[in-house]
Amino acid sequence: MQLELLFEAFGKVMFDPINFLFVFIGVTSGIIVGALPGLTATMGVALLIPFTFGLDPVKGLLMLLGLFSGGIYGGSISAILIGIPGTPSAAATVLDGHPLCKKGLAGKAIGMATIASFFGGTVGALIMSFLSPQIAKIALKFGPPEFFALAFFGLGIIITVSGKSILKGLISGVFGLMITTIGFDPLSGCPRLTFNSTELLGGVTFIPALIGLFGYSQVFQGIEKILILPPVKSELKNIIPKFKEIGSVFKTMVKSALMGTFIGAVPGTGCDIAAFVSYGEARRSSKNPEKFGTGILEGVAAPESGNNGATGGAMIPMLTLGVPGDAVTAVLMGALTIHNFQPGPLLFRDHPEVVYPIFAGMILAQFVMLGVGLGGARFFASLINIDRRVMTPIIFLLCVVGSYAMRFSFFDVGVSLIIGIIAYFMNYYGFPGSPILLALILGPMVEQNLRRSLIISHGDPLIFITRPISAAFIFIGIFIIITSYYRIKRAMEKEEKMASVAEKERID
Amino acid sequence: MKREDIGIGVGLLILSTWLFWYVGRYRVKEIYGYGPDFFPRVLAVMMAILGLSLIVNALLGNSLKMGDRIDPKGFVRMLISIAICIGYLILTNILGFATATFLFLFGLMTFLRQKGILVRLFSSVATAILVWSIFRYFLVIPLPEGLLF
Amino acid sequence: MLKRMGLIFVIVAGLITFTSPDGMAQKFPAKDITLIVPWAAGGGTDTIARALVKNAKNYFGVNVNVVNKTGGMGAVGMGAVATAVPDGYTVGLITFQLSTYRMMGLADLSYRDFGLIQLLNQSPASISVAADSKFKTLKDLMEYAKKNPGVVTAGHSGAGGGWHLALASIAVREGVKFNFVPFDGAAPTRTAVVGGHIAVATTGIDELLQLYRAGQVRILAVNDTKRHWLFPDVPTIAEAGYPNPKIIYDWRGLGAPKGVPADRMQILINGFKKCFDDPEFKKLAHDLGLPLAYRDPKGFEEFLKEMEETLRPALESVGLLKEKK
Repeated sequence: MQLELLFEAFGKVMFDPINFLFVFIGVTSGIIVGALPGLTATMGVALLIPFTFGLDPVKGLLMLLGLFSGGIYGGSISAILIGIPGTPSAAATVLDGHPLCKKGLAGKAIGMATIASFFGGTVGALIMSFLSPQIAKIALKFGPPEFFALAFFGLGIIITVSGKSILKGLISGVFGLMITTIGFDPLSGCPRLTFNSTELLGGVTFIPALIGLFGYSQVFQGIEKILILPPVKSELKNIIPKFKEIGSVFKTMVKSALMGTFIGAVPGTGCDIAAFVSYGEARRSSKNPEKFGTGILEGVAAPESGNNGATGGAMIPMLTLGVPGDAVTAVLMGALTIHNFQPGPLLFRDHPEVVYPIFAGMILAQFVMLGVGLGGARFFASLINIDRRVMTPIIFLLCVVGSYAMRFSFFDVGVSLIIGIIAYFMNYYGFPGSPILLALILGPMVEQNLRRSLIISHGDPLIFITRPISAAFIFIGIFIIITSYYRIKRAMEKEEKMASVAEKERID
Repeated sequence: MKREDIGIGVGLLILSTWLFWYVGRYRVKEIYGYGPDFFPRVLAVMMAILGLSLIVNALLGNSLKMGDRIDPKGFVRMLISIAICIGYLILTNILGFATATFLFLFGLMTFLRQKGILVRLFSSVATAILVWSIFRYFLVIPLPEGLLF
Repeated sequence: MLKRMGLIFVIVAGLITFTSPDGMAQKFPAKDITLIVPWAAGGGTDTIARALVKNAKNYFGVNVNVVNKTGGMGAVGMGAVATAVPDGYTVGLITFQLSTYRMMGLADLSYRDFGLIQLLNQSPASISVAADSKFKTLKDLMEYAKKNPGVVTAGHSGAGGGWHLALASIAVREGVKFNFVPFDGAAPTRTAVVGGHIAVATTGIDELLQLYRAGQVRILAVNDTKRHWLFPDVPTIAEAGYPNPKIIYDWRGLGAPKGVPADRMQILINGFKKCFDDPEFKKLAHDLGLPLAYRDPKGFEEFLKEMEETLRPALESVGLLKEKK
């Protein structure tokens, strides 16, 4: 790490208005792309690559990095306002963000999300700038058994996002894992449960499933209850959370940012898992786990700090090992390659003129995001005051378009609609959607690494506990599953008791 | 929702039995026996256990209380809106994306009894043009084309 | 009423003739061309596609836009190209997997469903180990593996992929049994070999360029008839002592749906040839270590025919041949 190079790069990036402009364009388009359901940061970066051809590579990269940060943050806006995560990484933000909006506190929730994203993103970017080579060494230690253990640990979060019944949450989770077995099995070269359909060979794709679970189910319920539901008036004052409110979630933000960065740095796990793990851990270690899910600021701060921390983290293995940390960095890697900077162990030595501006740009992007986010929060929050009869059809349209746009496929629109109808009924029978989503993210990782590890060990399952990192994750996973089970069970009992006391009082 | 839980539990048991049987065909002579059928079968067993627990739980009277109920009139409205959506998907390939989108939005708003024809016209035209131009010019994603645009 | 219907009919018919391309003066291409890439954005195939059409505007007068349509080992995207409207505005990148779908029983799709445009590249496989591995040469590895059947773990980027088949066919011929570990793509495979999780990796040689230059991997051989210009000290498979008469190459090419009018097809063939000859594209391919290999539609067809003949026994040897006869 050469500090003077970093500072020089900072100087160049910060004080050159053109560079600043590119970061600004990137962040703003990122927020728009991120906020629209179905258009993800991954897609946004891929779509912007041709625009960078005509540019100086560093300027192009600054725009893409801005889009990455802005896109991950932007997903939280639609998650809060309409309960539909704009990007997969905002799925955990729905859990508390949308209830806050229903209380009329959309503005404050967006303000909190902005500050937490900024905080997490900055921590991630700083860790990336100063500790990349060290973290890369740890990432290399991750083989198939470690990936399996990490995914197992991640699935443990299902318990904390299960809503009212842990049993029903687990059923949702296993159902989600079943869905991931549809399609081509890369390990054996065999198509599974495809019923001879070429389209199903690709499996149920993630984005249409996400839109079905959170988008269509919301729209259907909205249409069903449109004449009954009272209108929500959005509070447009006090957008910026009070200093005290930030202070009370500060510890959560720090923890989430660090966990997020680390999870992002592990190749193959990205911002979406980071957000869920951060949310799960915040709820598990909280004194009031029963308040999570009812609309509290901590439930927005944790996932947003975690997923933006993961943006910096995901860049680490991409830059240092040439292995993308997640889907977005995979596309960024392609962009670097087209500009003839092949990421890998030699990038730092051969091309410092690209690496240091990346660091500086990533940090700058966080500040721009903070400014644009807080500036726009009032406007975003006011959108909710549009009449529901106009808004619902538009959201319906965005769901159709969003599920189509991933692969411009009508098949995906159909898949999404079907999942939406299933999710609509699940909602009434107390089955939560988040565990399905978590299972869809982690399913392939669990299955493939389980089988891969067993092939390596010649069928011996002890491989998972004889390797230190893998054993550690398995044991932490079991510990977290047990403690969160008891804590949440107790919290629910407490809540039930309070509810029944309240009911009694009302009757008396 | 005791009855519902038992019904769903039975459904899950049938699903897991079917899955366990169906993936048997993917059994290949792979080394160490962890072939493509391995993971689905593990899941089928887990699902069967969970489904059974759901039934037992319900029989013991531990089911959750039913929250909101489905409003029958609203349910019909939802089904009609899905039909409108399917009609829209077919129309995109005949009329083109932008025109069909306008008709879809206008139709659905009318169906949901939004008052004021000007509000409906303006908001649906504006949204259709906005979404269409974002896709056409900013994202350069191919959209279905038809007679119009 | 009938009169009115008739009027509407006339108007609609007029609209159709007016707006449909056949009714207007022929100019091709009059709008942007879409290039469907069946693999994810950021991957090797996607990068090549985007680099190829970077300057397409100079040669076609319109842009060629890359869109990714992924899933099912490329079958979803390639299937979409084969069934697209054959007006010449949709073309697709077709890759190695197209040679295997029918034989592996995955999809009823082969090169016969496409109007072929050109072959782009054919990449050789490489066999590599970590820099601190005890296997110094290919002979070390093969002899050890022969004595200890099924012990040496060999990672590849997916069952039935070019790299898997390349190593498997050598192994079958030499009577060696590897413990094949399938990964999902090249990047995790090469990290696993550097991290010491598998003993051997088989990937495209160009995919190892950075690790090779950084001294983190040792490449035992390249499965080709000549050495690679960026890896001058890596012996060919014959030089390493294991001559290979039928080499399996990974390939990429361009195709259009069947039934594109011949004049438009010619414009596409000429235009993409110019993209291929673009100095910027050539330089990037050279720097990345990607062996370009142009073939015109006819040569491409012959190449693909031969490929299927080469692949059939290889697939059979790894138990993936499920051809419906």
